[in-house]
Amino acid sequence: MLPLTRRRFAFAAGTALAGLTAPRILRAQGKPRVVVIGGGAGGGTAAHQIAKDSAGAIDVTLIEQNKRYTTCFFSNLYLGGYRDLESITHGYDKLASGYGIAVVNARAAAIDRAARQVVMADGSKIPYDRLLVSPGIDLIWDSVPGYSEAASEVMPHAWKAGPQTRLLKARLDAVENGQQIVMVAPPNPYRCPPGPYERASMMAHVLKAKGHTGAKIVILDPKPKFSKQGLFAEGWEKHYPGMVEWYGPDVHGGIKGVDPAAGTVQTDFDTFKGALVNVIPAQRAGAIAAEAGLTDASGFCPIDPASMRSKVDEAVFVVGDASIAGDMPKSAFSANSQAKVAAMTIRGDLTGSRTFPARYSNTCWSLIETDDGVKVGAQYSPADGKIASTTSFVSKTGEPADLRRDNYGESVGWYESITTDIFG
Amino acid sequence: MKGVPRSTDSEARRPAILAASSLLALLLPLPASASGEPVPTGGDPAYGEYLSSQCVTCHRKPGATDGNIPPIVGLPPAAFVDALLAYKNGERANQVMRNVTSALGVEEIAALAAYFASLSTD
Repeated sequence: MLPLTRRRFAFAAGTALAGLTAPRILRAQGKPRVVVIGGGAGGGTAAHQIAKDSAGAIDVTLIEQNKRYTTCFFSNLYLGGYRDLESITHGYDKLASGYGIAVVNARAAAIDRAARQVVMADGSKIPYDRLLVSPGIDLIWDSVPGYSEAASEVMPHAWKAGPQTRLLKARLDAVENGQQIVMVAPPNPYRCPPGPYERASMMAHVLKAKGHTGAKIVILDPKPKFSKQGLFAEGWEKHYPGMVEWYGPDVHGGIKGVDPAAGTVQTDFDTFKGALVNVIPAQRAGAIAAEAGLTDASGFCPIDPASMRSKVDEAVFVVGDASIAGDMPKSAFSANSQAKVAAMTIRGDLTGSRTFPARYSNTCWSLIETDDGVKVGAQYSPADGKIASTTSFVSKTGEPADLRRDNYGESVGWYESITTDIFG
Repeated sequence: MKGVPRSTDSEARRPAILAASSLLALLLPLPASASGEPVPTGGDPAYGEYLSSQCVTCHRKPGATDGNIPPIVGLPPAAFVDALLAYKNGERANQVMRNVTSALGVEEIAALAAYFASLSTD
């Protein structure tokens, strides 16, 4: 037994030494393997970036259950009639054919972190050396009493783009003059902080364009304030006088629940009835992240701000809405930015390529009315254990019309570029 | 962190010295951009490539048609640097670019210029 033990020791010592000087993953056979779960702004960008920059040195697999992906960003412009759904729907053909990414259009059921493999819904297993998890959000249905997945067929949330967005648009287009739309806004943290208020603007735009200026949109908000509040308030007063009303908790006293059959929302103050009720519930990281033990008590995933590496597993990275990204909002722009830091770090892990200090950025554009776009943005870097804002800006009230028009033009250019970054 | 000048491990010290000499070079009279600012030289194109991944989130490829964000690939390095400095100095107004450039130091601008120059000579 002694010689065997000694040989084992020598092997182990050699491995440990090699670990000091060589990239952590040097596979005896085959290339290092990266698996990405989720084909949205985070996952698509990461898969694309790793495959492009590693030029064939890393095997990249992208798991996304939908063959075609409708972006949540710009779905408000579909509601407003500025875009059709096809123009915000993308496939993965270019990632597969242009970058050699293995695209698996099936559902990932679980992550076996001990065995470093993803277990698919059909029971097959996909092994990884590094895993990037970008599942987006799940809705916490019962955060609004009376609401449920079934109720969302009557009171659409449309906070994940696709059939729900189409349903909300159909219901919006059926609202008549004099009727009321009620929106239940979500508590922090949630995907796309200005999104509910841009959506209310787009609803008002559609109604106004039809001459339905006697219709009203009531926003019941669990938050005392919201993103770009001054800009939206100014825009609503300017473009849609008397059509949009926002009630914070100091007015409604608390949202008690919804009655889908009656089409009502109950608050401490009153019961609001809507011809259309849009409920955007509270959110948490996509279920697969929680089931894999990657989330903390907040329902989201703690990460190392210098790399987007999971704080609970060094072989796993989490980007996008599912991550706890400090000062960064949950947005497609943020997810794309985080994915690039994670992709760089993963390549460094697997091939020894150079890495640089993490930098992150975000810009969120919102359209209030035709050619009246506003924006907010910031730069970020790791500091004090989180991703911290280093410099930021926000549009100002009273800006000239040409600047607001340029803002919208920027957002259109950004959409084209970022979707190329995500989908190839 | 390999090769990054602000890193403190011994392996990275040599690049740090090189970077310091590059910074010195930045202070010398060099070919001027249109605004009269010297064009940074000696930037690290690999660092520039990493930094450029932020640019392409918004800046489309040449030939793209939507929106009003101009393409930047293929810009002469002097014009590229000139534009970045004009945003950084507040001479150009775009809020996003002012914000982006406020987070870019001389080292970053030199790196971006080196990377984009390498693309334009392809």
